[in-house]
Amino acid sequence: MSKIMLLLSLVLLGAGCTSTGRVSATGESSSMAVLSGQPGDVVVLIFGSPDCPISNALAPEYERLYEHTADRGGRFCLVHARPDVTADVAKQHAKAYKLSMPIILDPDHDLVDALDATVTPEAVVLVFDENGKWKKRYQGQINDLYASLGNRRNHATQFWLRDAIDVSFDGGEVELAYRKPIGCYIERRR
Amino acid sequence: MFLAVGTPEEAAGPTWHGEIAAIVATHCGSCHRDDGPAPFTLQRYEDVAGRANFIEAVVRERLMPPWLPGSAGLPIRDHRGLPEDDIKAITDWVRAGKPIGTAGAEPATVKATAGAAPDLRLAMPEPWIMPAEGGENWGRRQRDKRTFVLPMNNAEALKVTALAYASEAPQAVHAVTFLADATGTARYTDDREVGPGHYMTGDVRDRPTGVMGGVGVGMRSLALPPGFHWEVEPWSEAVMEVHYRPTGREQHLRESLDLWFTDDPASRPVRTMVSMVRQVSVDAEETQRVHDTYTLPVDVDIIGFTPRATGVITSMNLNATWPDGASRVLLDIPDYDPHWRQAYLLEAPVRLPAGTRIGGSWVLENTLDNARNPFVPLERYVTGRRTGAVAILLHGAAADAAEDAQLRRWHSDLMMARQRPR
Repeated sequence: MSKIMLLLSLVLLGAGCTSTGRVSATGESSSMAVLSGQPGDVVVLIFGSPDCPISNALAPEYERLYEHTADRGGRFCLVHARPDVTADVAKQHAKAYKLSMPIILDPDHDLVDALDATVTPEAVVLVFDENGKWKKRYQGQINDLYASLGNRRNHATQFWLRDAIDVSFDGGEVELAYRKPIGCYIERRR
Repeated sequence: MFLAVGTPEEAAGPTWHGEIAAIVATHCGSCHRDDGPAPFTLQRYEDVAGRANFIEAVVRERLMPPWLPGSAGLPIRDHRGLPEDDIKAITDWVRAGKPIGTAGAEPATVKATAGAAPDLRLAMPEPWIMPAEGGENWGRRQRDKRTFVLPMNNAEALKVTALAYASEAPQAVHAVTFLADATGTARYTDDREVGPGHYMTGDVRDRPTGVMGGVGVGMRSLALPPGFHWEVEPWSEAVMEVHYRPTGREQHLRESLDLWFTDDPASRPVRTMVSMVRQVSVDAEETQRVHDTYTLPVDVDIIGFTPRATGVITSMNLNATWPDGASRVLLDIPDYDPHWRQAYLLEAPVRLPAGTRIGGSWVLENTLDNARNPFVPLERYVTGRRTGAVAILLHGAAADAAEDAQLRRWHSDLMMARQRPR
């Protein structure tokens, strides 16, 4: 299921994860054009939730990473994993937190399941490889603002997602490809 | 033939209507309600079932509801800690598939309650804009705090019996401590900074009067037991030291403080006795325990405590040793988190006789294992403060006016002695 769902999700992603400030849903896109990538293309997804304080605390970092990814020619999307998040809620949240990246609603957890996301916030970095396939290069924590659930530092000192994005663009391997994310659990739909 | 074979919802395990709704209403509902300080509501089955695994994890880890005191100390009023049986019920309920059970009487949903109108309402005339993110610590101090000074304009002394704090950003504002300052020091400091409030940490005075406790998440009001009051000198200013946690967006803080007074001549003033260590020095990677003791000069009826320390401190406790040698723990905080602290009032006042020795103890962990250590990257942690780099404030009252005067003189001398180099 995973590969199929991943392909489907990325097809839908092609519709949703391109235009600034746009809110779209995985299940309602009419654009089924196969996501065509060029070797080296980078897509960054952040699973978030408008009412998760751990995710919201990182909103300024999301925006910085979005700009950084865009500057390097990649795509960056915020994916709302809670099924009760509507387009209006997502827009209000983006306005309140000054988020300008494309936003995808994932009410049926197509992306959550395809990418095995478990909490919000959780980052995934995908790279289009030479064989025409999307490969997961990094998944997990964005930075070390939270040392554990309930234990938050004043400020982050390690910026793992930023490092993973840079390494992915540069064609290298991320030193630690998975860092167990810390955040609000995603209540799985199935 | 009439074996107890029922539907899954009638199984022996806990159900929403059977146990869980009441547990959630009692322990979560005061914050997780519409317009409450928590980020989402937990009032209906759908609210709780939709986050059940997360809820189960945070209650099992005792992260929620936030409650610092352990069981070794004196009984504390408004205890929010979740009993083991309730944690087990939640765990069993989630593992059983969150059965809803048979509807009975719904537990009352918790709403903000309106009590008697306050005698004085103080409000910031203009908001202070809280930043979206925390920054690096500077000068070995924690950021993410702001002190606001509000004139009380009281020509007469006041006897404060209760207070209630309201925040425009309740999710961001965690612990708030209160002082009444008649020295003008707080105002002077406030005037030195542009805009509302200033960066200061409440050291406006070191006399035992002036402290009015503190509120925290889940407890925004504080009412003294009958017969006790905080004394506020004429022409005082209310000082509110606000510890906030940035939420990812700029937010306006326009805070307010309601006060209730008494004119009962028999009411006794609550004094604050400070267990403290004035200076600490902890090397990087070092864990250190520090102590302090003093002996009460008169009988004191203690009513509560306010812990005060940064995240370098991971645990603390306060003990009393009676003149006859008996001892017991007054307050035990085995896993300290500065963001969840508040003033703790006892279920009932406790008499400590003259000659009782009060011992405070704190563990400082200047390590990376201490996830709450605000000072990373690690280096030697050195700090000093007139009213204690680490402290536990003990709130209590002497039996009468003469002993109250004696208590105040003694504490003033104690604080002065602590300022002298050792």
